[in-house]
Parts: sequence; structure tokens; C-alpha cells
Amino acid sequence: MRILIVEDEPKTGDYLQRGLSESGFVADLARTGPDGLHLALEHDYDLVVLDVMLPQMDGWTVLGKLRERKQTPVLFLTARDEIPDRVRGLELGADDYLVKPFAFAELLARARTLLRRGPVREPEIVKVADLEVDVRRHRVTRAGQRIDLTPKEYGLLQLLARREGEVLSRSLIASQVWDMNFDSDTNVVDVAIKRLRAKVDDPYPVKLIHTVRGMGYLMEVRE
Amino acid sequence: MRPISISLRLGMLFAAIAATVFLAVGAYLHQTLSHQMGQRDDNDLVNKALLVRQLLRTLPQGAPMPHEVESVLRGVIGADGVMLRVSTPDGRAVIGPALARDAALPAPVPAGREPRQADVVSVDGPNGAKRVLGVLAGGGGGRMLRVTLERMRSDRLAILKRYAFDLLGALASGAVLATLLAFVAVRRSLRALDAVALQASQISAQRLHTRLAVEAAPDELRAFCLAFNAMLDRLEEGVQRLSGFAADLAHDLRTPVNALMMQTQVALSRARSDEEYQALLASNQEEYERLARMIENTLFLARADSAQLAVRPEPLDVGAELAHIRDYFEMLAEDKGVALSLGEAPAPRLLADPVLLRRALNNLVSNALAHTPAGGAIRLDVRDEDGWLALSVANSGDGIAPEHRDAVFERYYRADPARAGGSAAAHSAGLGLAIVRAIMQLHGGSARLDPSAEGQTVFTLRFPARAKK
Repeated sequence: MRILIVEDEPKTGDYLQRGLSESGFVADLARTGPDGLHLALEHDYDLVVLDVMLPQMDGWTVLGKLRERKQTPVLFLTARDEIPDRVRGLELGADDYLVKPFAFAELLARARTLLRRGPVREPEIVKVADLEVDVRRHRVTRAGQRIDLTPKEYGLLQLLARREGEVLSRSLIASQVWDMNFDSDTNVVDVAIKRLRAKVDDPYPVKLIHTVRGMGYLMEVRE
Repeated sequence: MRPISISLRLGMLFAAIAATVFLAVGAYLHQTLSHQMGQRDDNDLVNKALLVRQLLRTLPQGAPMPHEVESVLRGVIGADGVMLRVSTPDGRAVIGPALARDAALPAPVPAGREPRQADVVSVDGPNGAKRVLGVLAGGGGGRMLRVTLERMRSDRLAILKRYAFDLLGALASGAVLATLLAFVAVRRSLRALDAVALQASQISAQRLHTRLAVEAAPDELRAFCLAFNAMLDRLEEGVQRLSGFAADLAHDLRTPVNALMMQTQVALSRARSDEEYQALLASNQEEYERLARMIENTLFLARADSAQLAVRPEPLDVGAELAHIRDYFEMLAEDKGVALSLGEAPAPRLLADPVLLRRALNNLVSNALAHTPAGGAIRLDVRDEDGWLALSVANSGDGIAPEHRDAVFERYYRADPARAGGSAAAHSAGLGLAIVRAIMQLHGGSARLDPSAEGQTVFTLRFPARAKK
């Protein structure tokens, strides 16, 4: 998967490139609007991560010119989250936007969603190591033993299992599991994870739910 | 188009009024004069006819009309435009010219009846209209004479015409004069506005405490001055709050930035293990998130203040919303050993923005959880309150001291000025309740802290109950 980053702020650009490369993408970096547009037109990228405030040619112009020729998915980065700005970006053909400051994990999640494109067939049974989540029957077993979960615990586990290997931020979890679509500064998510761990991980030798300090949680099998 | 100035508008209005009134009065005066002149003339004719009858009666029987009689009669009639004719019944003229044969004259008043004004009639003649009175008079010896008195109208009409002309002139100049005076008067009266404008022009952001002199203003301007002063009060309060807000914000941003700088500098001062670096970065990340949240909250409040925030209200099931919040906090409450319960909800509908409503409830419940000791209880209730829909979050705990009651909704306000360090302070930047209040104002409702009873803290959100079933 090849991603183009168009970002003029040196540190942000460097770290975005590094973060995306380390996450398994081929990431190119352009530091000005014209450079970015040139690269985007010359090469076939799977995704363009485009900053709005750019020297010489702003992100909207780049997007407008790109859309004249190509339908590469574009993820907008903006420091302004006024509604007209967002509407303008989306009207011009942006596929999603992120307001700065954002969590890198969030960017990764959005990028993966955009790259996934098209209907995703949800498996009926999600497996992580010896953990099985039967999506159809809302049943969870580990090592063949049935685990009883409350609906919210189940929702949380399903989210973690489906996005195996992805770091999920607290706000993303709150939004997906409880439909709380704003940044809440309570530690509801931490408590829920703690309870889930007590049921899913604590009785077993292999731990599946991991904390990434400062970023969030993820589910994966660690050697 | 620019609106017409008040003085011009008043002046023109006054001119129109003056012209109309003057014209009406003039027409009335003209009409009265004309009527009175006609009456007097007719009366004169009647009197003269009586006099002529009297004189004719004194003539000796059968005597011819003596020359003296004629001159006496002429003297009586005078020379003021009245013409006298006396003729015999067969039409022979005795005095004055003979009557024209074809003159359509009314029947003369019989000798036995006194002539009245009503007997005077208008007759059109070759020289214009004239007033005519005909009477029969006994001329001695049973001889009947016909007396006809005529007065030409033309001279009277000329006078009236002249009078009307003079009147119009006088009225026109009167109207013009009145209008000019009105202009001057209006101008002078409006000068009070200039004084107010001068006072207002001296008010600037640095001198917001200046107020218009209400006492010195005329009655009509007093309401305006009061309203203007009230506006200044609000502006002054707003500006003061804004500058206080900026100071608070700077302070609150400085604290995490300072912590970040310090811990990073200490970490960099010598080589550390990977674990230490990782811990540092993770700790930094937490501070950054706190900063980001602070910026987000501040921006939210700023936008709510300037009404830039889009509120998308939709009909919501209040019971479901409360249950949703309960679900969200349930585990946290259990973890803390606090009972979280819902009151008996009549489940009315409410028109509100779901995201904002959840955010307000989230702030209240997380506040309540932070201040409720283990073993305590939090209760969410909904009820009808004089046509308002009241959502309340009550928690047991120490309660809030009365002196803080009004201030808790202020930005960056903390009941505990020492602000206990650690995660509790990080968790509440002092904006949560300010955001609750802003959200309620956006919904046309209000947020209040009820007087605590028996260690209870009760926050109530009041929504206008527009969307009740």
C-alpha cells in the first residue's frame, strides 16, 4: 500500500512518514502543494494524506486539481474544524478529514478504513489465538470454555477482536461501543478494559489485551 | 436608499399639515364671508322695498307721480348698485327704465304681505347674475304699482375673488413660515441627539465604564440611553470576562507545558534506559492529550459564546438518553462502589442535540462520580417543572458550599482553589460545568445547582418542553 503525505510542517511530516512506514505502508512525503500534486498525478497512490494549510498552493486547490484527473482517496488534515471548512473539503471530494491535533492511532485507523473500501465481509466467527467470538450468536469462548459477558463488555471485546493488531484510542472505543462522540475525560474505557481483562485474560496464561501507554489498547498475540 | 432625515421628514410632514389646515380654514372663511355678504345685501333689498312701499302709500289719491317723489325715492335707494323700477300693472314705467318684456321675473310679493329675504331671487341677466326683489305697493287711490329692486352681483363677486386671492397668499406664506419654523424647532430639538452621540463616541474598549447621562437626556431619549447603558454593561462584563478568561487559559496552558518541558529536560540531561524514555514519552502523551482536550473545550465555549456552534436538535426519548448515560458510567460507578440509578421516568420527548445533551450529562455525571465517596449514590431524574423538562443529577457527598454555588458554572472555576494535584486536577480543567451551561443556553434552557439538602448535590438542567408528546 502506497501513501503520499503532503505536509509542510517539518516535524509532523517526518513523523507521519515514519509512523506510516513502520505500520507497513510505503509512504512518500511532499512538503509543498505543487510537489504533492505533481507526485499524486505522476504515481498511483492508494491514499493521499493532505494538509490544508500549505505554502504556494493550499490543500483545497491541490485536491481540486487532483480530482480533475484522479479519484485517489484523500484524507484531509486540518487545524481548523469549523463546519464550513469541513464541508468545503468534503464537497471538493475529500474522503475523510482529521482535525489537528489527532492521535496517530486515529489516523492509522482512518487510513485503513479508507483503504479497505468496498463492502467488507464480516466473518461470523472472529478468532484471536484461542479466543473465539461468535458474532452471530453473541457467544464468547476461550480455550473451549464459555465466557459470560455483559452487552457492553461483549461490544468492547468484539471491537478489539475485529481490529486485531490495531491500537484503538480511548475516544474511538467510547465512540464505537457507547456512541459517545466527543472527547470525554473520564476513565470509563479503562475501567471497562479492566473488567474485560478480568474475564477474558486473567484466568489464562496468554494475555491478549494490551495497553499501549499514552495511546490506547489493542488485542494481539504477543510472543 | 438612505432613509430621509428625521428633520426633513418632520418638516415635510408639518408643511403638509399646515397647508391642509390653512386651506380648510381659508375655504371656510371665504365661504362665510360670501354668505354673509349675500345675506346683508338681500336684507338691504327687503328694507328698501319696505321703505319704497311706505313712501308710495303716502302719495295722495289719484295724483300722478310727482317729480319730488321720484327724487326722494332715489335718495332712499342710494347709489350703491341698486336699481329701482316702479311701473304700473300694465307695464308702463313710472320710475326707472321699463321692465324688459321677456325678463323672467318671479311673481311680486302681494301688497298685503311683508317681503322676506326668501323672496329675493337670483336672475341671470345680460350683465351677469343679479338679485331681484319684486313687491306690489298701493300707490294711493287704490292704484297698484309694481316695485322692482335689483342688485348686480358682479361687484360682490369681484370683492370675493379679491378676498380669496389675498387669503390664498396669506395662507401660503403662513404655511411656508410655519414650515420653516418647524424645521428650526425640529433641528433644535434633535440637537439633544448630537449630545448623546458625542458622549457615545467617547466610549472605547479602554473606557467601557463611561455611561450616557440619562438624567440630562430629554424624556424621549431616556429609554434609548438606558438601553444603550445596559448594552454597555453587558459589553463591559463580556470584555472583563474575556480578559479574565485569557489569563485563566494562559495559566492553565502553562501548567502542562511547564511539566512537559521540565520532565523532558530532566530526561535529556543524561543518558537513560529505553524504559525510562518510553515512560517519559507516554507521560508526555498524556499531557498532550490533556492540552488538546483543553483547547477543544475552550474552542467549544468560545464558539458557543459567539453562537457559531451548530445545534442540530431532534426529538429524543429522555428515558433512553438517561439509560444510555447510565450504561456508559455503570462500570465506572461499580468500580468506585457508587450506586448509579435512574428515577421513575415518565419518558417524555425532548427536542435537543443528542451529542450536546450527552456531553452535558457526561460532564455532570463524571463530576458527580469524582465527588461521591465509595458507598454513595448518584441518581438521574427527569420531571416536569412548570412546563419545563428538568433533568437532574443528584449525588451524595460533601455538597458544595453556598458561597461557591453561583460560581461553579464559571470557566476555570474550582471550588478548591488549592487544586489537589494528580489525576483529579488533570481530569477537571474547570471547564466541564461551563460547557454544561453553554450547552443549556444553546438549547434555550438553563443549568443550575440546587441548594444542597442533607449532603446532596443536585444539578438540574431545564429544557423548554417544546416537544412533549
